[in-house]
Amino acid sequence: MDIYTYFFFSYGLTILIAFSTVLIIIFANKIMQAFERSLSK
Amino acid sequence: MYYDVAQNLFPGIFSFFVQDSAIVYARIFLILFGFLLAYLGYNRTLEPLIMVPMGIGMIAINSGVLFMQGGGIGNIFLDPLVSDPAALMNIMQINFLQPIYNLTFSNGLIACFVFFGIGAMSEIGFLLARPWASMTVALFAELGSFVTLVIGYKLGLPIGEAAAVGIIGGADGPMVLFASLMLAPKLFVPISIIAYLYLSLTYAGYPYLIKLMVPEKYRGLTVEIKHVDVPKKQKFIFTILMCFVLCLLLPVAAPLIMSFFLGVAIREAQIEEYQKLLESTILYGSTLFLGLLLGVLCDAQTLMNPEVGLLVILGCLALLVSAIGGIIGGWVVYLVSKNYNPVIGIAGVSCVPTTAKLAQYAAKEANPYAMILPLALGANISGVIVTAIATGVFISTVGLVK
Repeated sequence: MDIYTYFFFSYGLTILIAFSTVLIIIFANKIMQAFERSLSK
Repeated sequence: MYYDVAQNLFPGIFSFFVQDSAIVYARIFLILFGFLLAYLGYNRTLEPLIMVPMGIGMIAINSGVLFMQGGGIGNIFLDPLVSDPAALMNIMQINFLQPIYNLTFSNGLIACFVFFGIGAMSEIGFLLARPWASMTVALFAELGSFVTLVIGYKLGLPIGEAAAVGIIGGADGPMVLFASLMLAPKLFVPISIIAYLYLSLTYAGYPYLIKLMVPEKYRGLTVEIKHVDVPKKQKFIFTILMCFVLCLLLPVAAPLIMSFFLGVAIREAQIEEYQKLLESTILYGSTLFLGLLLGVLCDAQTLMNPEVGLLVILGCLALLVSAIGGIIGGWVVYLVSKNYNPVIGIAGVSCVPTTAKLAQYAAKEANPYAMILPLALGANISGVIVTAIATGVFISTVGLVK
């Protein structure tokens, strides 16, 4: 892989992992809220 | 005879007359520079926690030179280049900082200790308030790492060294220590010194960059902060989950990721005894020795490495491009959501909490009622996470470049 391709590959991979983390946080939040609601019923 | 007695009595002074003139000038420069750093730390122009011990360490290592057995010139602080185990065991019994250097600094443990403390001081709720905006800004503020990687490689550095110096753009001292240890062990000492030195010096320049890129009208924008009341239990589970995901994806950066999230988890679990220990004793103890070791490593002979000049320029470039990227990120989020202050972008450059405080200061200067600190701290914490991700990506994939 040449250096310019690696620039886009590594930056892209970083962006992908970072946004995946945010998605996991948001989904986990929704699941936990639903879980808490079901416990309180 | 009197000459020999005087030489043995005052080796620090006499060594100036027998060393190579380039080394002598470098020693004098570093002594004066050490004074300057300690003074700028004292009057709070630069970060005192690092700069005061670092400045004093620089003065001591370049003045406390003596004639060793066998006629060589050295010191009794530490030798960063010793690698033979038998020689190391002998030196550890003489050089007083050698055990701390070998057992905590050169294996990255001290960086993990600092991360324990940073984690224990980080409120994860700030990140949860605007996770997309915080992460976007932090990703823009990582631009310097990737741009410097390309420029360093094109200027002839091996890819590992180009990546290690690029990570300076993440503006996260412990992460730079860790990355240079993994990717460029030969340049570990100069890269670490340059990173910490330039981190402090560049922060002094960031306020001017903010003024240049964000007009006063926008710097003073007030932001409506939606209060996200996340229960402690939820934040604790998020913390563990994030630690799990990031360790799973980036095992090479797992020690630092674990250290940071363990600190956060202890805070969220309200284990006060540990929190106090991490926030005060461990964090400040490690920072003191980190500053002192960085100063002591500024030995004229170590810094005479011809590659240091290039590293200085690249380190500075990395921090500048990251700051510009962060502010552009702030503008992008502002243009998309309107409820944002572009100045927060600078906080994506992840030195917790310095850049967040810089953002708040710049906003308050333009509008005394502007309060952006919670969002800036969110961007700061995202910056730490993104730099850990970029470090892990570099360490795992840099070998793909042919």
